[in-house]
Amino acid sequence: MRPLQPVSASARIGYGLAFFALFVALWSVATFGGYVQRLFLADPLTMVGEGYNLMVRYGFSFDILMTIWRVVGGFVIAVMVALPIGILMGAYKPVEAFLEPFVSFARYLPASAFIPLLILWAGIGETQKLLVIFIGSVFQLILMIAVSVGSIRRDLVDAAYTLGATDSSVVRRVMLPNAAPEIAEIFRLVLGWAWTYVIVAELIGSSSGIGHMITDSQALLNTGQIIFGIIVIGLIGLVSDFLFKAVNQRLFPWARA
Amino acid sequence: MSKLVIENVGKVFAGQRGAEPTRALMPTSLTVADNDFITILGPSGCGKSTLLRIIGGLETASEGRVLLDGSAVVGPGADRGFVFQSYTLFPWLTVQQNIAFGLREKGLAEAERLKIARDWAVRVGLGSFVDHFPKQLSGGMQQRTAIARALANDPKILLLDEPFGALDNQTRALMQEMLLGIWEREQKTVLFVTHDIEEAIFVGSRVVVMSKRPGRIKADIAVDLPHPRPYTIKTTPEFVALKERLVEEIRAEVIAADH
Repeated sequence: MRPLQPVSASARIGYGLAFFALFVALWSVATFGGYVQRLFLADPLTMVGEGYNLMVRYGFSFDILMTIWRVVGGFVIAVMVALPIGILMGAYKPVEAFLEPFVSFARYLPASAFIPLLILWAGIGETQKLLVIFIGSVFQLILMIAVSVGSIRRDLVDAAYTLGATDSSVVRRVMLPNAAPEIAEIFRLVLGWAWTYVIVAELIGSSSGIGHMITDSQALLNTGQIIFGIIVIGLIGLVSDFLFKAVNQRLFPWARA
Repeated sequence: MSKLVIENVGKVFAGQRGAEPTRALMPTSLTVADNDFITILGPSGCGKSTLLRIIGGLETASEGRVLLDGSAVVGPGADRGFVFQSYTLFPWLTVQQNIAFGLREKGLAEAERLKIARDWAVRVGLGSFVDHFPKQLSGGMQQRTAIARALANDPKILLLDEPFGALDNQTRALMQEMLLGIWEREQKTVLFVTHDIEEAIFVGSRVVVMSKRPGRIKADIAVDLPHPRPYTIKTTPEFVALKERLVEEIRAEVIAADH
């Protein structure tokens, strides 16, 4: 191995899979070897069996869909609010000066700490779940979008002005497309964070969703189901990440390194 | 008639954190005739780029004024095409779309914009690269596109700020010939800032030499070389004599700046 020496595409996949295999192997040794009590950690085979039960007998796919819908719903609302605000903040310094201190403060308010308050305000229905996701993502989105819109090279803006661009077309035709690939990347990142908020929201006061299943299984000491739930979340995250990357590459061929 | 009149334009930059303000440009006056090709030659940091940016409206003058066709310049505009030393093509647009950028601001229909853009791409020798993105182009090709983009707007004057400064010598020589060729055909008023003496003589009809910082005009020398100018002109006695004279002028400034 030498610093920064690239690996081939197939070797990259191989290495990636090898770590998953190593992880499962260690888990198997710990559980089948009897080093960890079954009460605390189910072995891989039990986990797969419990997963099968969940999917076939307990309608777990409905829970999965509920969770996905909550994440996507809350996230989309957050994007619709954050995108215009973030763009205005990035482009216009007075707007930034007006909002940035508050947004920076609000970003550190933990979304999960709002859950009791949100239950009080919105009950334990879907609105409350969406609000948790919304609060958790919107401030992060605003700040990151503002930074990416504002960090345009000055000479690109100058060039646009010397070509006769107006202020509004500098924002629309230069700052926005310039930031677009990074904004797409921000969406990918923050969507990942939204996943952690949804599970927390579902752990408390919910009758469906992956988080709800996990609390139910905890009551039954069914660690196999819990681990299956966690792995499902990981897989969904992996798939959405992959989709985002593929879409971004297609949308922004000019940005590819 | 005079296209561009620069009247006592000077620039003082405000000091940062209580420091003394710095003067980048002494009050400078210059008159540019229609269809003239003027090169502004000076050592690094002499304020020649500042002067050009003031004409382009990208910088405000601390004193004096700039008149283009008799009306004062306020802020940047499509009537003054600008080519930067850094690569300023929009990375998300193809060559053709980049060249058409200003035409869209003017409100031309898409078919017409793309037609004009294609014509300009051909004129700068990039006819087969219209659908390429900037990152797929060499530095020379990017600057050719930038020149085409500025000219497609049909500006009254073309301002170039060391446009070939980042290119290697061979490419730079070819670019000079291409620019000169365009100027000979299109008849444009051009202001070209450079610190390269040979470049200043080869493309210019008039070389304006600037002193060290704070810049002022030190000499204004006509280049009486015939057009069209082939690259071989660089070895003629007339060219060499001019070059020797300018080398002396610039050398004195660089030495003075270091002491």
